[in-house]
Amino acid sequence: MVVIKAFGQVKEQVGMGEFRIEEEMQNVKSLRTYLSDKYPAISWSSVAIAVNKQYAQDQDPLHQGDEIALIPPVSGG
Amino acid sequence: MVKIVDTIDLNKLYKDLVHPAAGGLCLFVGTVRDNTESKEVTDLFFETYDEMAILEMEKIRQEAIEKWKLEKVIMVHAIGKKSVGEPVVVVGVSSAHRKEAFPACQFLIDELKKTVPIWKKEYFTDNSHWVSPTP
Repeated sequence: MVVIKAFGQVKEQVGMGEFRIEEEMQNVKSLRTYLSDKYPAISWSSVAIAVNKQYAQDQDPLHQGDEIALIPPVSGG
Repeated sequence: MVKIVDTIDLNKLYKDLVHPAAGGLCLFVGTVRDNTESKEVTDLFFETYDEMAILEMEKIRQEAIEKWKLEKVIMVHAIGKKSVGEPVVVVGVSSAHRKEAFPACQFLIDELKKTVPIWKKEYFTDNSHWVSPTP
């Protein structure tokens, strides 16, 4: 199980700010595949993924209870 | 000091930056502009991933401290709905001389815009949309 937080545009597109995925995910790449299948309308290539509040790469492993964030292009300032 | 706040108090931030060894303070204040690409903007709404935004701002702050000789460094971003003219972000440094202060201040705001998980939504008279960063 991992907890997913969504922000900005992505939050509106998935329709919730926080949800859980019960399926086992090996790494960030497998999470991306899962999300692309579930939400094909989102352009995932422009969405960064953070694991436990750090920007993550595709090969980074996921663990039970990780806090994942879906980060669309940032626009602070 | 890095912070996410509801409302920016410029007087307070000025006091936070003052330091006896500093002869110069440089602050950048980002405010709500009333237009974008010739469309009238009424308000901006800011959302953050608070805990991560603080971590990312702290990384930038530390990088600035390593690059320049600075006395104080602050980065503050506001959240929620802000109207035209209101401050939404302040970055600032104090240093012995202006030579360090100007580039350090520019570095802080440029880096903040690249990596810190904060998003803004523009409200127009007829609709609204999430902003994509300026290329």
